[in-house]
Amino acid sequence: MTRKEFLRTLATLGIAAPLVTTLAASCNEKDETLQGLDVDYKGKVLIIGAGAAGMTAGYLLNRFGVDFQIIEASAVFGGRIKRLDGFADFPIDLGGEWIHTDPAVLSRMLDDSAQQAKVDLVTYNPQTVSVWRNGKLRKRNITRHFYSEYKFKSTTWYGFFERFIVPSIQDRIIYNSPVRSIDYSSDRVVVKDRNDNTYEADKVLVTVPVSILKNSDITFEPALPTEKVEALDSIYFPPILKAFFEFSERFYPDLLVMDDLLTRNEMFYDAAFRKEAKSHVLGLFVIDDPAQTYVDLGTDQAIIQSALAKLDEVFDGKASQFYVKGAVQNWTTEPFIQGSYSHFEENISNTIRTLIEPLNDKVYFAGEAMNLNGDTSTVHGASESAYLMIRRMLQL
Amino acid sequence: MKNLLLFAVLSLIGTALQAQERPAKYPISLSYFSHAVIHPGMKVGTQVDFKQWATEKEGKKATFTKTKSLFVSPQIGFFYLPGHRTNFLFNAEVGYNRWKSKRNTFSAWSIGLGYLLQSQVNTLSVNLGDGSIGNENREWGSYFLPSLNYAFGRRISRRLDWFSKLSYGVQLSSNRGASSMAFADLGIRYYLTTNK
Repeated sequence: MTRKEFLRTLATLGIAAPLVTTLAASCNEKDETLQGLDVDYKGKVLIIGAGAAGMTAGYLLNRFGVDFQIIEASAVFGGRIKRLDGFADFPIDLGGEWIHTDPAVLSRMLDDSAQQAKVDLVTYNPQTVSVWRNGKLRKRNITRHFYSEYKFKSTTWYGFFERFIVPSIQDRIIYNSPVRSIDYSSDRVVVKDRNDNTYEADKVLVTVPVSILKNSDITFEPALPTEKVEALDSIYFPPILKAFFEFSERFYPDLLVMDDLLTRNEMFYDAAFRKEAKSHVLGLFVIDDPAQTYVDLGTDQAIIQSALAKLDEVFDGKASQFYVKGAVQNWTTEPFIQGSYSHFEENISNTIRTLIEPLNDKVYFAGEAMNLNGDTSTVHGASESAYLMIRRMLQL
Repeated sequence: MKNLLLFAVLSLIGTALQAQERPAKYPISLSYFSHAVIHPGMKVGTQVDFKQWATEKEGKKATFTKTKSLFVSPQIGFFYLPGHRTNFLFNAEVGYNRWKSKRNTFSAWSIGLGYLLQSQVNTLSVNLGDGSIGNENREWGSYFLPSLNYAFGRRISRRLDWFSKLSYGVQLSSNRGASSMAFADLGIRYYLTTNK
């Protein structure tokens, strides 16, 4: 299956999300709760990366009283979840935005029956859908009968982690420490960052994006096994970019897909959909080849102008007429992200099995690409991979 | 057991043969009704012929009757997508039905005008302790739904038919634009009276 075919299939499955969501609700649950388990692990654990997987792993280790630290390359937690405040009258997800499964997954991510809080969500099923292709705007409202997911109503993925996960781990995160090497040749694992800081631990959980491993931004001693390198090489990690535009008036449908409704590589969407917001905010989600075209423009301003020019062509100049301001999140040029999320081109389960195989029972792997339960390329999938790997690491 | 099966088969054949004589009247239909296959539901309806005529055709061994009719068929149905949408459909069709006594089959083309009442979950809340869903805020919307329908079926006894039906409709909305909808029915018809 080629990359294009895969993306097409993925998108087709996305169209059928409501059915999948319904069916998955009963079988998507974690094996069992990790609450109330006694953990007798006295060693120290280093978690590399404070994204969804790394934070969830820390949340669990804190619960079990295990000594741990999280080493984060950037100045903030979140990884590929990030929030834009103050742009509109609602917080905006600059990274992971949609909840691609049964919303009860939020409860399973916390695995805490004593938790009393509730989170408001919106059902994200765009009612007005158009496709711009070959210079013509065509309505494709039939999509509203099939496509449905969820989004946070008044918070974001970042806000969810900030409120429910981060409080128990915030004192354990060391920021601005991009890891450059992991030496697991002796009893203790030695981790060095680019600031020449050295950390030692009994076990290490690597949760960095696949791109970082593919590009060998972190070196391993001994080197990664050949099969793991081949598995990493088989994963496609396309470029991605998100941008948001505020307009003084609304002139756009709930969802505007450029060129191809099935792959949906480039789409403009009403970011305020059902959020009870007064701001008119249009989001741009663009991945793969169309994303690279934007990325190659170089500056945020050029990207905004290019997107506005496209919208002007579709809506007879209304984009420029009503434009107020814009913001760009270029994940492709983020040095510690370098792209979007994993796309598997070959046997997914075998690839993931190879990826998550620990090194000498000392170095473990988790993240959006490493979820053997199936929901890869998602925030909740990354979180779930942390559950699976902590269970394996602590032999629960 | 063998005798029981034989009796059942002979009874079925017997009623089927009897049913060839002439079509029955006043059917009540009950069907599995789904939008785009994946949104399941149910539908009940009836059918009233307001004009009926018959033509005879010579076969090799016997003469067969083709009964044709114009009918009106009111129906009430619902279909839903768990956790997302519930739809109620009030529909009326006018159509042309053709019944072949030779094969005991019928087919019908009809056009319909429906009123679709849709309840859609716009917002909800998740209890982070147990994952339960609550505070569902539903939005009600109503739409007209003109449709083109084709049904076919077969008589299985004097009072009973099975039928299948395919429908294509357009959901009309003043503020959300039109959208296509396709439906499928699979059900039975029970005739309250038979022509004797």
